Parts: sequence; structure tokens; C-alpha cells
Amino acid sequence: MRSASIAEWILARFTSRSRAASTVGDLLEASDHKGIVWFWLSAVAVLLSLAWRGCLAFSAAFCFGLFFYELLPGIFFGISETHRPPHGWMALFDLVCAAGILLSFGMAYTAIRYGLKDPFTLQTVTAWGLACVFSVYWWMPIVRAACPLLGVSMFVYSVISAPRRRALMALVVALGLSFAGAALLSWYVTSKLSQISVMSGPLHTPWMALKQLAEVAFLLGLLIQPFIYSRVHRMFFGDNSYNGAEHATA
Amino acid sequence: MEFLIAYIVVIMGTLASLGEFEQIVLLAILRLGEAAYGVTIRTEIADCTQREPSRGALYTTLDRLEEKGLVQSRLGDPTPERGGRAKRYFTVTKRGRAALIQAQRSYQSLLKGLDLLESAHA
Repeated sequence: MRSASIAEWILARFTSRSRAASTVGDLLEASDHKGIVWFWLSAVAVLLSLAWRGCLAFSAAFCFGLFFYELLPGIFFGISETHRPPHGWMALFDLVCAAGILLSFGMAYTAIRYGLKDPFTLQTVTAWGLACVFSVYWWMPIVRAACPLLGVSMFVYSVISAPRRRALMALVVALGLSFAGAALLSWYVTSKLSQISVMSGPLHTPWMALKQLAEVAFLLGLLIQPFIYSRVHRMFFGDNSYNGAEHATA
Repeated sequence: MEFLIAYIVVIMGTLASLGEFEQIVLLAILRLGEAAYGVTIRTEIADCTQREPSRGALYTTLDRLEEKGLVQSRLGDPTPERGGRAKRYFTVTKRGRAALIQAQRSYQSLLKGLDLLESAHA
């Protein structure tokens, strides 16, 4: 049955190939004399239950991440005008603020997709909380002392247990890829645009267009954040997509 | 022996908490023995509980139970009526059995002292 192969291919996008094959086999066996419409309705029902959590996690990550993309720099630079950061520390504070923005995508995604009990989610939420608190309240001496201290405590607490150590490594990889993804994509578009402007002469307002396109590229870099967290989770913990759905109802 | 397994798992703090539907699925797999795969598990649940579980909920629950290490699966031989696709047979692991015992014991503790079942029969 050709439609069974199509259904199997679609299901395999959301679960493993062997699970998709056995699921479609079950549907074929159960659909005897019930027809193709029944088969496809059942396949769609299975597909929805496999995909809804991932789709919701992606959507929420975009909304939450873009909200923090707007909010966090505004607060951070607003405070920087009234409170001067210590000399030479501004670059580091910028970096923490950027990490807070990038982590807000990952935090929303992992919390919904894998649940709050997941070690990777816990690491991401903790790091995001620390980065955000530091970005907003860095001008308070107690926060400047407490956040690094909590960060070090989190590191030590993670290192002493194997699952938490793995989650920490996953977070480091995800954050590294996040920075690289956002930065490299904007760098790539900027360099491509420079080549175009060199080959076809100056644009009407070349630098303005360049800047705008680099910003668009940076935004695209932000939008790939959930994919990064999804891949990193799969790399470190396998395809553990349903941990958060503790209470599926019949 | 089962008590010992349950005790060790609880002491080690690795006992997975089970939702209601997860318990139903585990019990259905135990009842079916060697013949537990998607179609038969769903039929068994429907026969015993008088309600048909949605296929989506069943497959995601089976996947989740396997990822938690509470069930394990093996592929059978491909059959023509399934378009040459193999059945995925499920069995409950020791860990799954221990989690189920623990969950059922909790229910029994809560029921103790209540004449709920007797009053339902009356």
C-alpha cells in the first residue's frame, strides 16, 4: 500500500524509523476492512500526539526568546547609562546579557519539550536565571558577588554526578553552538553582501542595507536556537522526546 | 523477591513515578505476556476498562515507558497483512514491575479503611 509508505515516512520524521514502521504495521493490521480514510485518520492522530509537544516548544521558544531579545538589552543598556560598569568589564557584561538572550530560547524550548525534571532543562533554566539576574542587577554589589558564586556552586554540584555532568557538557555545547550559529550566520550574510556590493557597485545606501541584513541574519541565528537545543539533547540523551508528558490520558 | 526489588529501587531513589495510563498500559502488557504489541495492548485495555485509548496516547506512552526503562521491546517477524512490517513486542522490565508494585501499593494504602468496593457492590 503506497499510502502506508507515505505515512511511515512522515511518522519517521518524528520518531525512529523502526517505531514508525511498527506503528504503521499496527494501523494496517487494525484497518483491515475499515478503509483508507480510517487508516489516515489514525495515522494523523498518532502523528499529532508525537508532534504537538515539539511544535508547542518551538513556538513558545520563539515567542519567549524574542520577548527577551527586546527586553533584556533595553534594561541592560538603560542601567549602563546610570551606573557605570567597572573599567574593562563592559565586554563581559555584554557577553552575559547575550547569553541570557540565547538561553531564553533554549530554556523555553527544553522546559516544554523535555519537562522540568530533565537534567538538561534544569541546567538551562539555572544558567538562564543567573544570566538574566546578573544582566538586570549587575550594578548591585551583592548580585555581582552572588551570581558568580552561584555559578561556581552550580558547576561543582554538576561535576560530582554523572548525569548532571553530562547535562552541563550539553549546555556548554548548546551555548557554544548558539553563539556560533547567531554570530557566524550574520558574519556570512555580511561578507556575502560585501562581495555583492563590490561586484555590482555601491548600493544606494550600502552600509545601511548591510547592517539591516546582518541584523536579519542575527535574528535568523536566534530562530535556529530551538533546533540547536533539540539536536544537542538528542546527541547527549538520545531521542527522549516524551519525558515531560507524564500523564497521557486515554 | 518482588518486594526486595521494589525496596532496592525505592532506596536507590530511582523509582519512576507512574501516571494512571502508564499503569494501565503496564498491566495490559503483563496480562498479555509474550503477545503484547500495539494492537493487542489496545484491545486488552478496551476490553478490561471499557474505554478505548487513543492510538496516539498509547504509542507515546509505550515510547516513554521504554525510555524510562520500564518496558523493553523487540521486533518480531514481518507479516504480509502488515505490509511486511514487523510487530514490536513489549515486555515489562524488573524496574517496571517494581514501579507498578509501588504504585499499586500506594493505591491499596489509600483504600485501606474505606469500604469503597463493598459499597459499590451493594
